Amino acid sequence: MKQFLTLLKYELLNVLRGRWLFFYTLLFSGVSYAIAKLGGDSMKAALSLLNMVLLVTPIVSILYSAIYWYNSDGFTTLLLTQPLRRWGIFASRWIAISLTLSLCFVVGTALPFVIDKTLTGAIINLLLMGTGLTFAFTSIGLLVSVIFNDRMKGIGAAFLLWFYFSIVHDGLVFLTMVIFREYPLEKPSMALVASNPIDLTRIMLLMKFDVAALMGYTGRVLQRFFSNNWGYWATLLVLLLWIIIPLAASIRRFNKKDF
Amino acid sequence: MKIEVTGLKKAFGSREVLKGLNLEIEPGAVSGLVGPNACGKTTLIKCILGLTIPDSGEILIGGKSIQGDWDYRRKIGYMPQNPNFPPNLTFVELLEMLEDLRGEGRSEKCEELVKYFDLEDSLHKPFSTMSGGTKQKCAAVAAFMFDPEILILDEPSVGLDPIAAVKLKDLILDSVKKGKSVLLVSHIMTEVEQLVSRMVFLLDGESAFSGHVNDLRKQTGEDKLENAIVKMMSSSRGQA
Repeated sequence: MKQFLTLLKYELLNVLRGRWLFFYTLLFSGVSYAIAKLGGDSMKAALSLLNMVLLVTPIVSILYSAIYWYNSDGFTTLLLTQPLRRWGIFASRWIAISLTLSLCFVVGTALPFVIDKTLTGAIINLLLMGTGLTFAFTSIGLLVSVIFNDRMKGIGAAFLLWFYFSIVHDGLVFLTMVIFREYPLEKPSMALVASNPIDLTRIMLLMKFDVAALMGYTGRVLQRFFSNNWGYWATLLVLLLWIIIPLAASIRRFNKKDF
Repeated sequence: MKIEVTGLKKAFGSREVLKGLNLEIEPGAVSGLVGPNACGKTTLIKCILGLTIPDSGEILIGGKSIQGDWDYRRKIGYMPQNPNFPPNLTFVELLEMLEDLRGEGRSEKCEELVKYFDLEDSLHKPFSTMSGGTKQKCAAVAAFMFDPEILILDEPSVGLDPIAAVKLKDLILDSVKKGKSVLLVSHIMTEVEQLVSRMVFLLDGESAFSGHVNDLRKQTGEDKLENAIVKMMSSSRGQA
């Protein structure tokens, strides 16, 4: 355990000194500041921030983790030649990247609201879900990097995955809904939502923000599910699976990988 | 500490790199690992270090199999050809990290080696600002600082200035006197000639020669080691 914490300490030192993470924090604080100053209630502020969080946190997490992985190739080799367990090397890196990105996102987004004394439950919910997305997309980014030895292929695949989850998936869901409109779609739509961490987060937050009326019949069905406690915890569990499954797959792959 | 390799096989896709390799690296000597490009030298080193997982065969270090083990790397110091350290960490942080990870307390030899390679001024510099040669000297300190039983050196003097290269050579010879096993991969023939007393000649994933350099000289009929190696390589190409 002591060895793992030592590894984590030095991975964190290395990640935290990356200069452009400062700009990532600055981006969120700039947007949050503008929204906080524009006035309106905190629900409107959270809704305004929602789309940016759903767009920016996944792409930054997936690309940053992939780029960091390929840039640390030599460091990985150095660590692998030390008396260390392989899974410990991987897990410490995953925690260091996820924690640092989450910290930048939370500090950047929350600070203007804290200064403005308008940090409410809606914003805290948004921060929690953004952190969940950061952890999930870091896991996915590292999985892609462990699979592809070639840097360009790996970063390309990470970008394509983000593109799928952010844009293509919604199109496919819409197409499915149109094609099968004659059938009851409540349960399949739940499954489709669960198969994309961005959609899952978006819908859960929209339900929490009580704007489901804008989403028609499906919105009402989903609201029934998400608004009760069981639905809330089930959603968190699915998001947790989106973090754990890619992470477990990455560690499995890393343990057998040739360097 | 002796390294024994038996029946080592490794393929990357359809390309067989090691084809049932057998060899022994004796303690108290520098063993040169030579052979033409793509003969399996790097793969062999990586298998010993645990960076690459062999398909079959066995590697014993001090009579103990390394399969499924990770703590054996405590006995190995490794100097890669192109050291690539974390760019945002400083040299002193790297040294502290290695000491902390091994959990053996402060390395007394570390400070001595930093002075030996004139690296005092680089201690607090991040690796991103260092030249290739300075990084190579840092890699030498990292490899020797725990006084390991086995040293694996992959083209160690590439990028070093002449003074540092001579110092490194002296350090290697000093380690051998202490009974360490040194496995050296080098294409600089003068370096091989000066340091190596035993030779492993790899050819197409198999050991074509393993023994004392004098035996290699006798076998090839060449007095100069450089010529003996060239002759061995040429005859292997002829056979191919």
